[in-house]
Amino acid sequence: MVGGLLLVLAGCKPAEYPKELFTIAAPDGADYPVMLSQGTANAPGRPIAASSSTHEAHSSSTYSNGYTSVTITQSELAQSEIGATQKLGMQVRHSDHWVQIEGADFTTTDFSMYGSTTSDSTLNLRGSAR
Amino acid sequence: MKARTTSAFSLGIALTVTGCYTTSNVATFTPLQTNYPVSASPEYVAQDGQIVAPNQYQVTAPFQFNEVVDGEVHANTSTRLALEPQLNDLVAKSQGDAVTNLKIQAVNYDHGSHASAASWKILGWTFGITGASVAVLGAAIGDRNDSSVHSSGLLLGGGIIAGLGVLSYVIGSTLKDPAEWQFQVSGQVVRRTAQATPSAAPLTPPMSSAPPLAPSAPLPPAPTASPAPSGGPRFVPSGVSHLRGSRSASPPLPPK
Repeated sequence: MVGGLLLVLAGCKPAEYPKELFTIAAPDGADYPVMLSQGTANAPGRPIAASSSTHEAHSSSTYSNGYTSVTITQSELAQSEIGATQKLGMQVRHSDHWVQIEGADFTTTDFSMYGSTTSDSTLNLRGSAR
Repeated sequence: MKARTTSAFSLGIALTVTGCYTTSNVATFTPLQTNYPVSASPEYVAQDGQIVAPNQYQVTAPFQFNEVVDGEVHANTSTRLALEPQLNDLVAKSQGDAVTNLKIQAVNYDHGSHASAASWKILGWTFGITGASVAVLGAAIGDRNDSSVHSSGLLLGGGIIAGLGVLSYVIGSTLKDPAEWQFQVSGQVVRRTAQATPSAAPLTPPMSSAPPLAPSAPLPPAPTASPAPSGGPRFVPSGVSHLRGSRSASPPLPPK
């Protein structure tokens, strides 16, 4: 019972979430149009897509045996090495005239349960090269 | 003994099922519904299909504004990031005919009261179910004549613990600070000054096999757009727009 209470109290600690940073922009060095408006969206194109994400998780658990109590706290932090915009730019060929951004989603999902919290954020970029 | 085992098992199941809270906040971007071209790069495709280079327009107004997309805690929210009203205003004020170098930057994500509300609710479930279990156990033991435990004490203690649980849950339910995507939008309104390049011609000579560009061989740097006229307007709208979208209640999730 005491162990369970400690576990719950550990979950009460405010999670130290990361500060995400995602950007929709032209890839570095792009010398072609990256269109965000609908006007040119009807032309056929080659689908391209990219995403980047961050992940953070904290968990804490307590084990008791006799008079000994051990609390283990684990933290995970991960993020994409390359941003979605740059990944999208890597799929553009020299023969392409321009890129149309068809859509993007900025998603964050926070999850909390007994003694653990996770936070995952993602930028999904969808477009077409024309 | 059987009653205790059943009670402990029920307690474990109940805590596992009820103690999970999820907040999902999605800001979606779809192609802008504008009467003028909007490009994220210095070049843009004009409405006549021609590609306009930076030396074929002049910058009339650089701009920057902020947008916030709210999401209710412990719910799934999806909101479209609507930039058209702000951009329409900027283009109209500066009498431009396109927007270039538009950058939509998610500069911060505020989790709101997700963590604190979840903690209080989890505490509420823990105390509530534990208290109820103790009370039920007390009632079960009270029927036995050989019991050395006073059932009334268990009932009272269980009731108090369960009451604390209800109180904790109510406190958690009152914490409603929304989760927020915070965006910074910047770019420049431009006005075309010269004839554009026909879009039928590739911007750069095509490669023989046209492979995807490798990270180690980036495209050449883009030419710098013509600077804003000295003393020209720079629109920085005051205030922050808050966008709210549809939501659906988030049911408790099974443990991961």
